[in-house]
Amino acid sequence: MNEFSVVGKPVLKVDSLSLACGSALFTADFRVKDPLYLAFFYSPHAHAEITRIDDSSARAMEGVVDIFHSGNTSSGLFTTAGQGYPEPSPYDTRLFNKTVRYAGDIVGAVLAESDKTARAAARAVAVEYTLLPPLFDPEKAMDGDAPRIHGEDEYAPLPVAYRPEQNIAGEVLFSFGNVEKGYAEADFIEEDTYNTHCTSHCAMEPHAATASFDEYGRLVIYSTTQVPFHARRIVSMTTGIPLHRIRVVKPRIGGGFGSKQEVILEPYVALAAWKHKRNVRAELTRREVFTTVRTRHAMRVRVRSGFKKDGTIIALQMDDVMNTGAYGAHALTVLSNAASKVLPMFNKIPNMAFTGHAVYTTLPVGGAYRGYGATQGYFAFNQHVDAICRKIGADFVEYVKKWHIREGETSEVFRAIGEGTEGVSQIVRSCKLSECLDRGAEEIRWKELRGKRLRSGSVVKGVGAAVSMQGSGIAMVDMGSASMKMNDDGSFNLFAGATDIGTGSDTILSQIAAETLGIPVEMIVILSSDTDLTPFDTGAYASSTTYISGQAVLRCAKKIGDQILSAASSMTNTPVGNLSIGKGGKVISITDGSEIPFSEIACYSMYSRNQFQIQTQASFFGEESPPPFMAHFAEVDVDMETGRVRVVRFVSAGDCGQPINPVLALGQIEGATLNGISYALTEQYLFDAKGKMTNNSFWDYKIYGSLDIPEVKAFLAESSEPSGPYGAKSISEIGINGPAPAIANAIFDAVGIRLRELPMTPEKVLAAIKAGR
Amino acid sequence: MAVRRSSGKYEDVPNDRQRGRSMNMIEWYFPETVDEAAALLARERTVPHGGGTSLVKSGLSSFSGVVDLAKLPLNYLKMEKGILEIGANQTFASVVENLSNLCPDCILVAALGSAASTALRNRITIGGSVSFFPPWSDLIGPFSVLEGEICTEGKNSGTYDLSSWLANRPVQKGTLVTSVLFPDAADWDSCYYREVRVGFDYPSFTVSVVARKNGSKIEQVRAAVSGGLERVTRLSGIEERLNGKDLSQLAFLDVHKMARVTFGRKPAGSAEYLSEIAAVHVERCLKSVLLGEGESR
Amino acid sequence: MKGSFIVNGKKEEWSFAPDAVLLDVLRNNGHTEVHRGCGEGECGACAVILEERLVNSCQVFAASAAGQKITTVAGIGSIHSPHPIQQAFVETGAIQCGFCTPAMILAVFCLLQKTPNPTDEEIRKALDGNLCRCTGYVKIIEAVRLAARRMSSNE
Repeated sequence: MNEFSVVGKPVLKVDSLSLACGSALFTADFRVKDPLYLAFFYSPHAHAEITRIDDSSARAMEGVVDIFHSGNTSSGLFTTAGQGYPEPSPYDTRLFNKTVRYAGDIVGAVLAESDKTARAAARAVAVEYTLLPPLFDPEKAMDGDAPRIHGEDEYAPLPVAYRPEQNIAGEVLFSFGNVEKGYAEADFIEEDTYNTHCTSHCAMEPHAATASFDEYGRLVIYSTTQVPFHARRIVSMTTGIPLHRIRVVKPRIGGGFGSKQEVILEPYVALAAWKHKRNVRAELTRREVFTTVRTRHAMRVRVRSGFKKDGTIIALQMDDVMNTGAYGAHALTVLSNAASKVLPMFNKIPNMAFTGHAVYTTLPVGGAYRGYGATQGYFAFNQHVDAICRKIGADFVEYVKKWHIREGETSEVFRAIGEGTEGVSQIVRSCKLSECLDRGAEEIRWKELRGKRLRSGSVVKGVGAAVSMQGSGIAMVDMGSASMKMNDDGSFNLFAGATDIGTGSDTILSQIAAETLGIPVEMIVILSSDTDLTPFDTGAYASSTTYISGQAVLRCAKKIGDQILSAASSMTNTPVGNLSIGKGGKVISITDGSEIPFSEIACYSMYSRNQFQIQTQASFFGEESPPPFMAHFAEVDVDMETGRVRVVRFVSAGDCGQPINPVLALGQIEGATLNGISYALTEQYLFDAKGKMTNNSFWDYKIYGSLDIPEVKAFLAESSEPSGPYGAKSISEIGINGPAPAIANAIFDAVGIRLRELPMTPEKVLAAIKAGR
Repeated sequence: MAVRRSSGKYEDVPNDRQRGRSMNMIEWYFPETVDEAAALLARERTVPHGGGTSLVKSGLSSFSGVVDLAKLPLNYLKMEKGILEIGANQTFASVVENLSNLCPDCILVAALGSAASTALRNRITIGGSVSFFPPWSDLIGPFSVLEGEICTEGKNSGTYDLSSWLANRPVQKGTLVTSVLFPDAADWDSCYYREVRVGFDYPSFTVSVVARKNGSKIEQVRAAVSGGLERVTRLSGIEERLNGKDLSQLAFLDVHKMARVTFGRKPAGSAEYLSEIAAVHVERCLKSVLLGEGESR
Repeated sequence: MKGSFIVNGKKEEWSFAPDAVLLDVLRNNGHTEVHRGCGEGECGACAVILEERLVNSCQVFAASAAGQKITTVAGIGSIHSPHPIQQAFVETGAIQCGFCTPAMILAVFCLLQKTPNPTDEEIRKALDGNLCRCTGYVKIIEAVRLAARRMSSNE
């Protein structure tokens, strides 16, 4: 196995101490001079035309500086999705829309001397509407008589399927072989329909943004963003402020999980600041975060398969309808991932068809959320496979071990389904899924518990499993870049565009650089995600940071290593070929073993002769997206009298290639697992008849806390991805894909009832048990 | 000043300056004696604050005075000969701490110890909780089965039992809760259950059962379900059938039917579901207390 | 109105509105280590220690805290000289985004004051009001065990 000095070691997260001691600054912690505050007012209606906005009494309130809305502020169409340009999401929204499309849609914004005043004035703006028919049922969205939610001049910037006249925000069609022929040859046909729901990321830090002016009158935006470079571009596009007059800085971020891969607040604070030449702050309340920020897309997945008695699947069809809500940010791409990250798992199926539609409804907007479609797809896929196994009397673990994609193999799906552009063919170079299945099965005591239905009073025990894969960045699309310079003492500044949102990317990128140069991590000083100071990076999404940004850092570090050798060569009059980078910050002569400390080389190149700054940069984009793999196992106790499902133990065994930092990698799995469990059991959006969310607070939107945690165990397989930096693949998203299907499969194991709808609340479980389904 | 609403009507709404002016006129008082506090509370638009969260949530905009009760000598807990008296300023956390020493099996320990969260239990007071008795109260069930009394000073001073207190909300205006009294709080076997979606949650219902046994005879049993359309319901039908009887009688009771309480729909579940599983938990609590079966939480 | 507070050992005199909550008063006066996660007492990110007791500062009127001792996470240790609990959180990887961390550490501080050798159940109960969406609590509990071990071996 590889022996690294720093990679693969539990290096302490570089920002941990500052976070523990409270010196780290989040967006809302920055002080700016004489700020004005921006607060929003929202539509109470699910679908309406704004006919009149009377802001006169609000303007008359003391401390109110300005009020922005569609009556006085126009903007072009854009998408809030933080994606590469041109985006695969439709341009279907303006800063202030004249038509409101969900209860909670932004109508306008008040700028005032205090947050309190701004909010009070926001309540005082009188808005008149003509109500339009709402559309809440995604299954009806494509009907001929469905209310049309978009379709004036909205358009898709990329040549993708976009038919707003049918409420279609995105469409994915894919097939190979002939599924009907496959069904004809099958011994069994299994068809089920699954429904997942929309949920909120619940990052502990609410969204916030501050737009301020530096001493040169340039606009500096601090924001809770996962995508500082996309934010800068979109701010410029929507407000007309020249891009070179905008700087976006990402400070510490209190969690994102995809909710901050969206450019929501930044254009508004920029607009207000630029107009009044004043510093402007906006901070959403938790209630606003639930309705104003994006959600996970709710999805209906219908799976149909034809298979033989021995379990060989001859044909597989998936038909998805995804509820994208009022606007189409991430519509096409989440839908694509529900296929592209799921279907390759069983790559030997000769006949396959996927039909997917992302449809508009007058409900809160779906967006990026950890798992990004794979989570929804795997809820269906894993239960379907479990059902197949039940039918043929096969063991789920052995079945998946037999059929999953393997090292050296490919799938038609990789080439066929991209993210708005063509997919990219690839061969899986690392896959330890079978090992993960074996490890997880042993840990959960699969053989001892599966099918035994051990009972204690009215409580029955079951175990269930699920598998998943994700990606590592978007092949041929995502790009990351880094630059480095050397300092007098042999330390380096590392400038990375990559965005640390709590994941620890600052740390692992420092580890990669340190490993390459044979130095301790402390000798790397990292600065990230500042559009003025760091080179470009797409941002923290698509599980791209370790693989793509990591490769950029590795290449940069290698290049700077070459410069060091070159300088050492001229310094010592030794041919470069006789020198190599040693361990501990020195250059070693291969011939006589003499050492030259980095610091001496640095000083030589800065001060002595042929002076130059040892510095360089590198960019990287992935030509493939090597998938991490994970096996997830749940042990549950089901109370037959109340329907309460308690997760007793949860085991996740994952292959992320070589973990750069095992503690951080395990932390990602553990956090994703718990998020996945409450996603499966307790989280949900409740709406009234008018489409307004009624439980927009933690009071009634329930996530797991310390009292709820089952025993969670996470393991990392021994693996190495040849195309990854030091063998690494991604890890941050995949953990969330397993809990819902593993728990559902465990419930079936316990009580013989299959729950096909999320969340699996006690009432639903009890009803299903009683109905005997 | 008049503001035109989206309905077309004009409504009178104080502008921010007016609101601000009245906001700045809110006075905070920190009385040190009960008489002083009672006198202050007799004033118009003056509200008591024990340190809990209800006033923070509802806001101060409709008041001109806040009487902070923290300095009053009401932060005590006494237990003598089974009579438990708790001063209104005792927080849930301090009640739990004190009773854990004096009477660890008391149902109040289980109930108040699981209410809300650690940080909130450090602020929610007995007085505040009794004044509001919200539908999700963790106090009301045990209060009912222990047949507690509410002692007050001020405008409508006196001692109230739970039903007269709940039936007569106006009695609380201008009145200061000084303590609660449980005349017979010790030597009960008890079981407390709260129906929550996750651990840190406000119960959709709670089940409280206390009982005294003598060998295989049930000397007395009391059971209550809170959170239904009626704030709290004593299950007197069950109690009558079990008081003074042999333990074996429990098996003959159709508890699921007799323990049915009517609920409204809540985010946690439909009225029918809540009613059904509340009865399930009543049966479980009874079995736990009387027969020693299963867990009590 | 005005009120004085002893914050992390330092006497402060601050002005605030009569209905201001302690969270806002602390943050507006430079204590940004106290975080607002929900403003409704439901997430625990704003917790501080008020006279030895953990409280959600968004649910405490500043007026009712006047004259009292307040401890924020900056009061138990600094980046130059961290408290063993802070150090334990760092070492076990219990900090991801760190937004819940200051309040979480204070909750642990209060727990270990009362119960120097807590069981896992006691730990979970002490943290019951501190939501964390990043870690799944696994390494947080490890951190508490580590801190408890170190602090009791030092006595």
